[in-house]
Amino acid sequence: MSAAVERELELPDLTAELACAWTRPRGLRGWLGDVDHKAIGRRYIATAFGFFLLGGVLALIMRLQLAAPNRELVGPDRYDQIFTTHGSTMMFLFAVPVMQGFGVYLVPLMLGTRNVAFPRLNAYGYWVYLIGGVFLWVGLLTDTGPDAGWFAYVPLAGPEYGTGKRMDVWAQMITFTELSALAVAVNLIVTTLKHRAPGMALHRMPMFVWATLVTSVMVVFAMPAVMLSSGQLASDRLIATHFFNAAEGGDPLLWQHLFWYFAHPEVYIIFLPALGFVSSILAPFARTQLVGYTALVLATVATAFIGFGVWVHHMFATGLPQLGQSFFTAASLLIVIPTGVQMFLWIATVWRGRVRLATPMLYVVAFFVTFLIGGLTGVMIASVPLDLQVHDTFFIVAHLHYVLIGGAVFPLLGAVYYWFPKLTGRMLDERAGKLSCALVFAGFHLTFFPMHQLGLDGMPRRVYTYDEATGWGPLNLVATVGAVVLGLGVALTLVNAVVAWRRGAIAGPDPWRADGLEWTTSSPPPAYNFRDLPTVCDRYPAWTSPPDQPVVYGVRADRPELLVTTLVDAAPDHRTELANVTLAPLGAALATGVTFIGSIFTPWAVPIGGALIVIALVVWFWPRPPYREERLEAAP
Amino acid sequence: MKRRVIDVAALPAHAFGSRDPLWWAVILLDAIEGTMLVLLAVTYFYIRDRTTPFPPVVVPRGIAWIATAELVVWLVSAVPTYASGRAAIAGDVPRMRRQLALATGLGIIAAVLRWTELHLLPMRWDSHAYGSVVWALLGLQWLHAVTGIGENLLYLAVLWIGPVEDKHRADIEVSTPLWYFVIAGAALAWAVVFLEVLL
Amino acid sequence: MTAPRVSVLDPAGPQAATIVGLWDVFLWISIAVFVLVVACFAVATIRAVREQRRDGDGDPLATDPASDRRMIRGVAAAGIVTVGTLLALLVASIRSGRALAALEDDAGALHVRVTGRQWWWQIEYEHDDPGQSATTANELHVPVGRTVHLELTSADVIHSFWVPSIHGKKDLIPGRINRTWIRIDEPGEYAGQCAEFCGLEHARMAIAIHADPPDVFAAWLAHQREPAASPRDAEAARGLAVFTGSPCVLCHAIAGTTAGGRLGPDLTHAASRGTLAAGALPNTIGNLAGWILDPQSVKPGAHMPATSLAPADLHALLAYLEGLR
Repeated sequence: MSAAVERELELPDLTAELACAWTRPRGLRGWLGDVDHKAIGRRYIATAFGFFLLGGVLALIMRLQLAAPNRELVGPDRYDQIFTTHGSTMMFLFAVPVMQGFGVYLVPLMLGTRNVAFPRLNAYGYWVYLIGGVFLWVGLLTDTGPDAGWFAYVPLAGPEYGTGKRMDVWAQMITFTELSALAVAVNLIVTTLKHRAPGMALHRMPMFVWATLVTSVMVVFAMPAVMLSSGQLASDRLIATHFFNAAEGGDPLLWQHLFWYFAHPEVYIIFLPALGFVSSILAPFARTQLVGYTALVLATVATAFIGFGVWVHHMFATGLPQLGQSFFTAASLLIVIPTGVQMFLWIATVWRGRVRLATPMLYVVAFFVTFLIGGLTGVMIASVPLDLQVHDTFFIVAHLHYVLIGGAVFPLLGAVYYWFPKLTGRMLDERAGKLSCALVFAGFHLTFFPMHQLGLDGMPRRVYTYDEATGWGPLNLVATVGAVVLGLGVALTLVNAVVAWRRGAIAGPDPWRADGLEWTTSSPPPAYNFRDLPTVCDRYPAWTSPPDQPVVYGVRADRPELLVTTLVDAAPDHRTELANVTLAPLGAALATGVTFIGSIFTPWAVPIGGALIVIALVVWFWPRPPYREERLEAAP
Repeated sequence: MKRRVIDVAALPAHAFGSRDPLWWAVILLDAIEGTMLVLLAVTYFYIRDRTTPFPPVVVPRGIAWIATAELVVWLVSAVPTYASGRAAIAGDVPRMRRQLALATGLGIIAAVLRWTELHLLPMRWDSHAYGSVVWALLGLQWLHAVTGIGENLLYLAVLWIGPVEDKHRADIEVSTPLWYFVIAGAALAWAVVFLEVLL
Repeated sequence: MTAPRVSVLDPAGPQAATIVGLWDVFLWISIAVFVLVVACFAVATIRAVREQRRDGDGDPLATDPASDRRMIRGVAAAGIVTVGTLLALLVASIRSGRALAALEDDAGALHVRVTGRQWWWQIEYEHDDPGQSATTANELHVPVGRTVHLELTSADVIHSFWVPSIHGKKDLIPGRINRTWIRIDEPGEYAGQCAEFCGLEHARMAIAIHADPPDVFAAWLAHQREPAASPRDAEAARGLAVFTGSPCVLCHAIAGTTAGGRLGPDLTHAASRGTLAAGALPNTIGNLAGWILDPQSVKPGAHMPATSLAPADLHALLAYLEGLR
């Protein structure tokens, strides 16, 4: 049986062939049909940050409205659309896609391969995400924005009280974004399992790859729940099913169970990749190997598992039996342990190393302090009696932002400063970075810390105004000022990125002297990622590989081909050819868009759109004609 | 200057079973759709728990027998599906065509039976929550069946029109878990909705 | 008049007091943990930064097994302390939960049904004789020192009943009956508002609890059970005629008259309530006039339509409603 062979030879320079095989043609067709993971990853990241800014604008509007009692900047209808769109945008159009975007960009580079396993699926996922996000915002801007909260509780979101098309827009946005997330998850899992550099056994993978692997598995088991429940909501609204209709045997709490069964894992889907960022930044900036690699991996897996078992802690006020509630309190406290262990191991890593406080490291520090507070308030609300008081108040608004901004956005901003040089070839300005970090940190705490007190003072969530007699005015004003400062800090990073993109200092392949394979190729990497596919012998390959570490030879350079390796030990197994530039994914995404958007206006959209999808898929999967060489071989 | 390399040129350009990345994608798709089916089954029991009397309308045993026949057809279709996979590995294209066509034919029969069941059900999806969840569970499984049949028809077209490359044989073999999943889904739907009716 | 009490940290009864006790435990432990962990992190970071500035970057592959073993032991110890602390907090939480459930066994509890509606609270004190049940809105009166068993449900969407100085919240869910038990030990007024987003005017769905000495409460309840006061003069009589002749009767009930609508608040003793529209406005003649003529300007989205009345009719109606104490 044919096998891989260790040899010594003169390496030919295949740069020209590789560039020809992997670079997309110039022009619109090339851009629309691009299947390069780096292009798609950049698009995910840029689009997600675009939605982040839009969601941030909505937040500023809310803060201006709430800055003082009885303000009339926006009325209740507009406010309800704004807070619903803010939450939906941040959770579905920013947080998950940006983490997946970094995964799509970085994982093949970190694994030492040239693309993800399914490049067309990758492109399809992005277009579907874009369609869904634009659809939601077109809804908001045409006064058809969803208005029943990002969590869409029924009956308020149902057919009787959720009038118009607003919540149908929400339900279909869910469909698009979850489809996209699943596409990325499948891609990242298979790429990670089957396309690693030879020698990169599972126990040698970078921490960020472990994080995206575990996260992607969570996506596979969590997203279907919200696809199902949003489908049930849509069908209750459009074709009169009764899943959530108490009068006909359904139950509003069924919605809550199904939704939170998805939505709690969702926050870990956002959070675990951010912990991967932290590990990725700590190693080079403390210039040492991570303490407790195995424990860090096991803690990530444990968090994912337990994360599926805590959803009822969002429902403590609904009147469920006490014994069941105690179980979920215990599980919600249990999940603190693996994350706590990770934090202790990171402290140990810092202790062992020597630290440069560049901007990425500063954001890690910001994460540490902020997320710790969020985690501690999380411990509080795991307790049923305490939660019964602060549930659905601004205390929870504070908690969720502490864990999501502190726990995910701070590491994300650190990741931006860390990997911007790799994506663009240029360094972000370090002084602006440090200033932006200070503004973001100060602005964040000024905005959200007072909200703990507001919750204790009786201020519920999702209120468009409040009376002067409540006494909530002063702290709300402080929060609004903080929001402006936070916005300035974010804006500074945005300006930094825009300026540095064209005029930043040239980065070179490895400006941080870091440890991962992505730093062994140019910045930005060529379309084919590596001229010679690497092999590895240990973790932290850029630090540990000797100068004569073998490279892979024999993968075709004239076609887009990947090496497939074995599951555990990453030994070379066979080669596989990938698709090249094609418009089929875009076509399929448009057909999907027609089907789901059309279905909220007419049931005919389902058969018509379905037919379009079938046509698009046939075009996608129909085999290309065999290459001339194979035809000649096969001929008698 | 000589360089140490790992020469993989001799490795094949296709592989079967779990060696093929596509196999993993199929398994993950099974997991995704399977999660939806399982959650629908959970929804069924949740609604069952809260509905008195249950069921609000009795499904006639005749329909349950049709569903049982459908399940048998699905289970039988596993055999030619497996055989088509083995034929793919062996490179026997005519056998692949026959077995895949047989499996697809059985699948079409099963799908038609499911369509009949849905037509004969004494309630609609908008009658009550029980009706909604039964239609959803049977309907989603039917959608999976139609997708599997559609995929098989695409493969059959390729097998007939040709040329059949090694990659296509591998694709067809690694897609067999999708068919097994459809069968498993049919079994789950039958057990949840119709087993009670028959007992 | 003192402002109504509304704070988690200002308990006026055993339920809220139990929770505040638990809060103190969690808060102080959290502060201690925060200080400890941040201190460790700060010390580690400052040390590592100083070392880098002094000695430059180290060799990332250099290992110090003895130091690593010490650190692993440190991490393990921290992990064990974490587990122990969480266990203690779990026990404390469960014990508090049990303490909160103690009131459920009180057989002498006063039974009140609260129904959430967009965007007001329907409150019913039932009686074996249905003609004697008292229905009011947005104000819950309870006797000091006696357990009150609240039966909670909703007529439309999910709401949540929350008066922070008294107890944690409990949702009002259509198709389900939830129960909560409270007791207020200090007379006074306590405020809260709906705590589950329920639509356009969720922000203006306040609830007020008046806790009175038992004899004051008994007198209040007895009065609430009586039918509405008859119009005290000719203008008020004309006002009653305006009321029964207008669409008001489609939604509002006044016991003792022909008005029996059940969609809006019961008005039998409306003039005795402190606010209009679930806390949106103080209950004064001027505000009532504005509310009747144009509810949307007070509470945009409220389900009450505007009622146009000739000034004389409006005056008469107000005169009648003013008498419904």
